[in-house]
Amino acid sequence: MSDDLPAAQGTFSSSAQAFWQGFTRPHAGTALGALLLTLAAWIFVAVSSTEARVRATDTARWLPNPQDDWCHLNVVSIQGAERHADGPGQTVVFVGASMLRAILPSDESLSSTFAPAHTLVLAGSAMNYEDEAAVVDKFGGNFAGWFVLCVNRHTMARDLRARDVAKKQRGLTVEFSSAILTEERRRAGLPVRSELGIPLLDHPRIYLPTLGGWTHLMRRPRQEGALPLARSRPITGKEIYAMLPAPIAAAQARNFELLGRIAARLQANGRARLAIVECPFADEALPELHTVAWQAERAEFVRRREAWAQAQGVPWLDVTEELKLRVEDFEDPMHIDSSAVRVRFANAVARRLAELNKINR
Amino acid sequence: MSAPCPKSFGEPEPAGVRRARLAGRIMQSLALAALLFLAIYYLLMSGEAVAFRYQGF
Repeated sequence: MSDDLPAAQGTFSSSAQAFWQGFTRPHAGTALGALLLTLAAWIFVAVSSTEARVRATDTARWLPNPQDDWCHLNVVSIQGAERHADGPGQTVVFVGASMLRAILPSDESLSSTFAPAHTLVLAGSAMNYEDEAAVVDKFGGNFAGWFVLCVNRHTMARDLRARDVAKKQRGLTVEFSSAILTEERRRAGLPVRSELGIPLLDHPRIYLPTLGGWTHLMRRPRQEGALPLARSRPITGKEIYAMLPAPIAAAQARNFELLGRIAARLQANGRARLAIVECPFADEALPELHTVAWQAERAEFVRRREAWAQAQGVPWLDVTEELKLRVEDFEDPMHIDSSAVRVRFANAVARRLAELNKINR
Repeated sequence: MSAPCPKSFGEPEPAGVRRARLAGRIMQSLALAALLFLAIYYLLMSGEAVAFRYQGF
């Protein structure tokens, strides 16, 4: 027995030495093995990165950053109406840019305003109308309720090509395959993304940060938080005027046509109804900017939108008067920073939709 | 610093030692693969339009 112990120690020592040798000495086999393992791991991530898997798993799994509004709207759009609008009552889906998010109250407050209807907000910073068309199409219109699209007369008449590059650099983009997005971007003269057919490579912003929806197993849940939109001082009329984009009639006409195509697709393919709601800019709250030219331009837009609404059979909600806007209610020329205005907006839209529900019943 | 030769010429290496060396190599492969995987991940994540960079719009 006493002789066995040193012998066992010797065997252990030589085994440990051999293990260390195997671990530290370069070897062609281990390098090849590492390459194959890495390849296998990336193939696993690529295979996990599919829209079918996004639809089959929890939304939170794909959202590493709760402040990432675009990631949220992309994932929810992919999961679609079957997942997010299949409740017993109506669902109201708001779609629009950051000005929509800014003018809506918190999710809880919005839900209680529209109750018993269920509400969903798909808002993304710098979202343009081509993006809105893609989101509506991807989400799908086969549900009982409303799509409420946020528009603004200034953004409808704006050339967004220069902004498109900055949007891409900041990751503020639609991240799913969409024939509608391709078609609408072509019509708008915007570059169209070519796709390889591999979601991980085509839309890395959705699939890469979570490694195909697996990183939730390792990460700690992050606290929800609002985007930092702090105002240092009140905005001035001059700043508002400077921020108003020069209107381009062709852009406005193109966007009216785009909205018409959204309406036509929904009427042809789904049960959901479409309503357009205007989110005002701060110029509405500043009488000194209401020059004769401003009033003429606004009146012309009102005439066009009424003609559009009549032709399409789609309600166009302009609740600006009911908001009782003041310049102080704005964070910047486009974003509301007033809980009172948010509540008035939600109440006004809810009331209008309820009236429309009665008419259509 | 060189490690001692694992076996003398003509003398068979004990099976336990062979298995230990193989285990070491497997561990080396796994460690290299993990490093390579992470390197590719961070390389891709540092690319434009992948990470969320909200700066206000």
